[in-house]
Amino acid sequence: MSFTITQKSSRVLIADDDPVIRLLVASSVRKAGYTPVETCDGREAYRTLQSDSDFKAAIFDMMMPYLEGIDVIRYMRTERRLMRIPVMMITSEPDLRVMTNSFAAGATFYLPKPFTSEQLETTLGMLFSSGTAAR
Amino acid sequence: MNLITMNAPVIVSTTGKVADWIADAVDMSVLLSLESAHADGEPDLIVELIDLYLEETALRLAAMSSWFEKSDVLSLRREAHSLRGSSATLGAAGTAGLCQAIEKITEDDPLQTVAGLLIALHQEAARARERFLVERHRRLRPESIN
Repeated sequence: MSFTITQKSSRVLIADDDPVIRLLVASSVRKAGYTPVETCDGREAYRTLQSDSDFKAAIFDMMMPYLEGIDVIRYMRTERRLMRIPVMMITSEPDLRVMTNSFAAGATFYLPKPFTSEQLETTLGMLFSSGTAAR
Repeated sequence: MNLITMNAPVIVSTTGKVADWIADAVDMSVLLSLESAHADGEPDLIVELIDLYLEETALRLAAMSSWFEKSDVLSLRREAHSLRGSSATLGAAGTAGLCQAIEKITEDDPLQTVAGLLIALHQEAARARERFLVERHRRLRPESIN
């Protein structure tokens, strides 16, 4: 089976149940020249990814209703069409095990809350330049 | 347990001035640093963040009181967790700290211990709200603030 991967998408999938953080992240994504696609929890992100893989990157909150960020990442890493998408995990959970588990599940970057807009911009820069993230 | 009085903030200021009461409720350097995330052509990001935060905080505080009255510790902790993240990001450190304390204490303490923290959280959130509103007003009508 042939599989074509487009690398030119400018869309970034964002999933966070907190509209304040979602607005802040979406604004930074827009400022960086990309188009945010906002979802309000893990289940909505999962449903979006079931029919849409045209994303430059994805940014998930760890703790969300219905489906946590780490569960969405695990799903993405089992789907060939989604494997290439680098994922940044945002969390206010200070536990190092959470960070370790995020990377083990397939997260590419990890941003702890609270974060400054500079920290957000720097991490987004790394996320967008990370290219393909086949794992 | 009835927490019907929890929405009434107690104003404590040695000078009796609201400005003194709210002065340290929000670290303005943290809030204003978020301006750098503003994208050209978009509405004032700080005003939008403030509006969303105040709306969300009111809902979350009401939900926390409700979960407390229903003795639903897990839901109460989840709300505290969510409010902590946005509060800390916007510079409302006192509110974030109380949320963190509620998260921690609900891990193993009975709900009665949480009541005092919830009342303190409502009061601190009211202080932060006033400070956010001052900044919001300043940004929308800068000529009216000296």
